[in-house]
Amino acid sequence: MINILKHDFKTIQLAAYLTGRDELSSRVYRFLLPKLLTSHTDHLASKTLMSEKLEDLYGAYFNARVERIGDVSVMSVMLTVVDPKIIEDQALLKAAVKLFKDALFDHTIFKSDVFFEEKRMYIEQWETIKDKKRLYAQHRFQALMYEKDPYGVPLSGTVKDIKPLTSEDFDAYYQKVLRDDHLTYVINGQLTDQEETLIRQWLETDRPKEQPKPVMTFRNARRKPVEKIENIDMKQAILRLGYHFPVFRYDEDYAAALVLDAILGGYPESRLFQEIREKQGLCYDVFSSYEPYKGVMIIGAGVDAKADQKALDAIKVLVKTIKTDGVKEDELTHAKQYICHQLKTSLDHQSVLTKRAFLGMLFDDKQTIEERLALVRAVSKSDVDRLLGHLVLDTVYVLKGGDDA
Amino acid sequence: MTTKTYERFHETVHILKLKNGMKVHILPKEDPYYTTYVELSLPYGALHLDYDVDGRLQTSPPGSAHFLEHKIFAMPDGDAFATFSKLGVDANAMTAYNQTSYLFSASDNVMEALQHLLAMIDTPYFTNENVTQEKSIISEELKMYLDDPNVVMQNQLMTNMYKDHPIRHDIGGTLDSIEAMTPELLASLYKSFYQPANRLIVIAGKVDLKAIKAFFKDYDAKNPATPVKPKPVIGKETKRVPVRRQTAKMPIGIHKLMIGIKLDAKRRSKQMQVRRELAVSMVLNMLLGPSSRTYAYLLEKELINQNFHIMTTFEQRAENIVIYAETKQINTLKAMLVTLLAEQAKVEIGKEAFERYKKVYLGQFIFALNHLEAKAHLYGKYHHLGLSLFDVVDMLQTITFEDIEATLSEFKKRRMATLVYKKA
Repeated sequence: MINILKHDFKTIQLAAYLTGRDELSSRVYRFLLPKLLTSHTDHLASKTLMSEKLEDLYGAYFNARVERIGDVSVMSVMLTVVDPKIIEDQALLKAAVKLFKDALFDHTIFKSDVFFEEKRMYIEQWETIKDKKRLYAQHRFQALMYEKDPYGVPLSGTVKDIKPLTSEDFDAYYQKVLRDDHLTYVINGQLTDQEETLIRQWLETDRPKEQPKPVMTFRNARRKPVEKIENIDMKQAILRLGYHFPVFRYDEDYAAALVLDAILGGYPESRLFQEIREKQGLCYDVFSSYEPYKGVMIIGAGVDAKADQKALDAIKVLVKTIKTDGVKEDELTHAKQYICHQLKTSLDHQSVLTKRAFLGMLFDDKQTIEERLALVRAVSKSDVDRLLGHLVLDTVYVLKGGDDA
Repeated sequence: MTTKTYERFHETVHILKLKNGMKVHILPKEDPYYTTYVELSLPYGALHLDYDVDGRLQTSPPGSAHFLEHKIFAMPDGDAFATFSKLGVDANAMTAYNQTSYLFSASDNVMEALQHLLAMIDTPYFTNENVTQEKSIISEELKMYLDDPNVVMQNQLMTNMYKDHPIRHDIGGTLDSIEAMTPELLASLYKSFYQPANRLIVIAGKVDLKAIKAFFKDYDAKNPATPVKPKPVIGKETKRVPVRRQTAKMPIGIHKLMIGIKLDAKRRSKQMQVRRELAVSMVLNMLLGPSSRTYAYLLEKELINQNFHIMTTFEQRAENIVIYAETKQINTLKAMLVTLLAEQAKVEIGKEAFERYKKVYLGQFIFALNHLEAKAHLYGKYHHLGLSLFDVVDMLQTITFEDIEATLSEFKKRRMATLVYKKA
């Protein structure tokens, strides 16, 4: 399936999305596979040759990653290249499409030296995770919040998963992906009709696989919140509060959930920013983050290591107050304006449009931006107040330094 | 208003110069486009700790420009951030070594937000209470960075490499230095550096030229020039590296290495300076970039992982290169990189790679034009250097292989500092 978007940008994006059901046993494969695909091909048989090729294409670059949307695993490979018309290089588009196709399909086997290099770097990333305090805190929080849930297992798999694997295992998994995964292309750039026709020919595909439709669920809220404090050698305390919030991407209340998130901690006028940072001066960063594929709301902050309990109490009181009193009409109006700005400005970002086109195909979502804006504008105070009742504190995690470290 | 067109990149710039000295540069984008991006910048940054006003030398503690940037958002009727939010726009600010920037992006209420931006800049409001409060907030920001071993390492390396230059200090200052901030100090810095003649406003994206022109005509009439002319003072820095080697044990997962090279930061013409910056960056990519022989070798021998980075800094009287790596073979890697840079660099670079990198840099320039924020920010940065962003591409074409080779003469062992953090 190919979706071609003709937007006025100075680069062309060629994106491929490979989708299959998420399984814990395949996590490590799907994490490393996009990296292997873009590191070398049969024709460009080393990382050095691949780098030279990308440089020759005016510094074109790949983005390769995996993500989980509901219970669907999405591997994506995207090549961004300058619009050939700007630099007057007529051979560039064909060369870029060839490289993009080769990254996806030109692999009889993965070279074992390249594989072992990726494997070593994967292991070393895990060995240094504690050096990146925020990443480490996020990892530990997720393991606690999503205990016994697939989201609790790292999307990248674990060191235990990778250790026994060889490049042959990845060769076999790659063949399985080619056989079973659904493939969607999204091409985005200021293409002429002739360029569009050529791209359609070059990327011709006969892969009538069924697109797996994501299912989004989460367990019930815990009766009593789980709280965990972990001490390591650091200056600050990183707080994460996970709220059970069963409102998902395609629920009727989705737009209201976005507005609630903005009011709570989504922008500088939010309650958390104004109260915890500006009024109480407890932190530099504080935020809420609504995760619509998971049905949760996360609140996070970095505070003085000795003020963790004070900050936790202040956040809990703030949430209790907003739940009791509801939101104010003026903060509702401003939050809606802010979200509308975010939606409109996203239309000027090429990567957002590329990803949105894919998500539209994944969810069979034909909603226009005007319709989305109308839904946000229609959110009422009673909608948001009602949703506040769904927020239930589920998990509290603190990573902190200090005397106990 | 003057207008310049850059056909090749489909870009036009309209320039307004106000009587009070403020400059407004407008880079419109044709419909359909939704966002307007505005960046107001001042050539006052973290390095400008000492400055001369009317023949009197003034000094300020490390972190002053950053502290002032935070406090500019305070207004008598509340937090300016919140007012931006009420208008439905996204606002932010940042302090660099040589400039401070205030920015917002809007899809509606552009003129109201522009008016608010200027009102915020024109209304300094520093009180004992709000300065004390900001110390708490900024100390948490600094502690956040101090929990990142890479930032700690970078700060230590700069301290080791420079004897007197203010680049020794972190942009945000230290937990101690911010304690010296007072309303009076901030007011004095504001008076010296935030006057209209120091301001550049870049407006990019969806624009209503007529409305912008009328707005600034009115603004100019109401805001005359202020006569203060501060002159930043940065003393001469020795070519020597005060601390050439340091090793420390740290609670980290894998050993970390930083190599700093102190370059010759002498005065050059603007054009020569930009050519030099491009040439140094290019030669480093040719030596250690992902397509280089050395990079492949270091990976093959398991001497580096994906956290291998090269950074360059070109500031007044402080120019340097920093190479960062994580490794399990710290001594081997250190020796190999120092030898490569000091002794073997010339044989490692070739004309073929040079031609490829010229293409890469042209591509990167176009990538930047694709992003409104990057385009406006780079435009402002080069303007403060006295150049046009669009002329930089032409300078790129004039760089020769000989220019590249010439930069290697500065890669001397005695100008290198190594900092090793060993896993405790």
